Amino acid sequence: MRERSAAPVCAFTAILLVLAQDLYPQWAGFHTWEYATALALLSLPIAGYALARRRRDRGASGSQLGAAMLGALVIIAAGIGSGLLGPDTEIVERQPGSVAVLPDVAAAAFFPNADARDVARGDIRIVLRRRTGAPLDIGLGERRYVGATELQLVPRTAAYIEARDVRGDRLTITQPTNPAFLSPVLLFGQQVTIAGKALPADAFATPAVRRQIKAFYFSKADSLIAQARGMAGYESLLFAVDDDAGHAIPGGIGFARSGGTIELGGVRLSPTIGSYPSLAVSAVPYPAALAVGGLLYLGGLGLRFAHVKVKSVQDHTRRKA
Amino acid sequence: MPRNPLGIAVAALALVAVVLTFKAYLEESGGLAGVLTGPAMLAGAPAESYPVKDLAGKSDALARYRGHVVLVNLWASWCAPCRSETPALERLYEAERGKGLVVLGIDQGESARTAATFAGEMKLHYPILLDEDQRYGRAYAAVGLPTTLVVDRSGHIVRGIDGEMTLAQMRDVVGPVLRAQE
Repeated sequence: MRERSAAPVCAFTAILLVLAQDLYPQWAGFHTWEYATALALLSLPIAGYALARRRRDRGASGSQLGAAMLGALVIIAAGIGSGLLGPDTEIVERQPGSVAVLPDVAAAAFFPNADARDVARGDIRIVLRRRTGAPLDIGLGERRYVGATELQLVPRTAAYIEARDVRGDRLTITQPTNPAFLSPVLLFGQQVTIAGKALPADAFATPAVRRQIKAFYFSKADSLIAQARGMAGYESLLFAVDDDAGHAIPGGIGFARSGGTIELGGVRLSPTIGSYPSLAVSAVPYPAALAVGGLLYLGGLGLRFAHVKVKSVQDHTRRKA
Repeated sequence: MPRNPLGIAVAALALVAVVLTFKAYLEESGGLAGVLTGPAMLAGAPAESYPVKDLAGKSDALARYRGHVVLVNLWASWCAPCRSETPALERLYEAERGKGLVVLGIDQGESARTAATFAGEMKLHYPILLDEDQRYGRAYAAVGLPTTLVVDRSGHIVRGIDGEMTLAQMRDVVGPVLRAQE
């Protein structure tokens, strides 16, 4: 009795654990030995049950439950395979207008250009061009599957910077330390601690007026500690303007809200704060194996259920007769 | 004849599914590669085109020059190598425009006033576009200025070059494309 109830419970639990990989593919716990061991331990009573059942009961019900347990074992194998062999989740962060090669899915991800409006809206779609098959485009909140890989967009803080000189003429923005040299979009790839708070940070230059500028992002919550007039409760950037030799310019530090403008060290800076997506690439259980396993599991259970029902009707009719 | 052919088929199907699972991961263990950088990598790709303004404030874009061989030059007035390269671009344009060459200067991130002053000082006759959002610079993977691309008559990039070029280098790059597509 104990064996009979333990195996289906183990099968159900193991299937839930495997399906969780599809729901939360970015959780690192799926790639640990503890997760694989848990699945392996759960598979033991299932395998034992399937074998014992087959030895004792060669009738239809034995085959049906055997098939269901076999299905569960296939799903568990898919889960262990994904956890142990699939790569850890990789967050691919790229500047607007650049391309990332994804050999795992034999594709290239095109990160589209973005202007101030796109960054403010944050609804940018990334296009995946594959060696075989039609291009895939992915938006925020959507999931795309390519083989045993799941692709999802992760929003990250970004700011589009418009810089002008004191006459109001627009200035070229460069990011000399960034692969996207000519990008006015900051993605805040670094972190700097200010007043005990870790803040996203980035840097750019306006070579026409020989300025190097650091930018620190303050969220609405962070702005409460900033003690800058008019910034509390707003997303803002703290700018620190240096000359091209890296020396701080007197009066070259100040805050600007998204959509606002500040003049520091001979540069008028207007940030638009929003988001630009990164691409999360995660291993998931191989869909074909899940489909076969699911078919066997549900088919086996369904047939078993139908068989029990028919048998009870027959017994009832016989008793009545 | 096996006693339970259906059971064997089910077991075989399960085995195939498991083998495919492990095969999928073993084949896909290449890891993620880094970003592609630099304009040279764009050879063969279709040239992206974005609508921007010209010096007169009219809308223009690279796509409008389809059917010509286009030498796209990304530049800015503060960039010293751009300044020293510009006379060679003007000479190339004057010499080869009759053969179907267009030199297209695309200013990166500056105002019309700044670009117009530069064009006036340099006595430029080739078209200048103003890319205030620096979209061409990003799409063409510029890692510095100037950046030059040669686009053929079908709108595909033939070469992408980072840095200043001499007139002889420009002729070497553009000449075969003009001849091949005459």
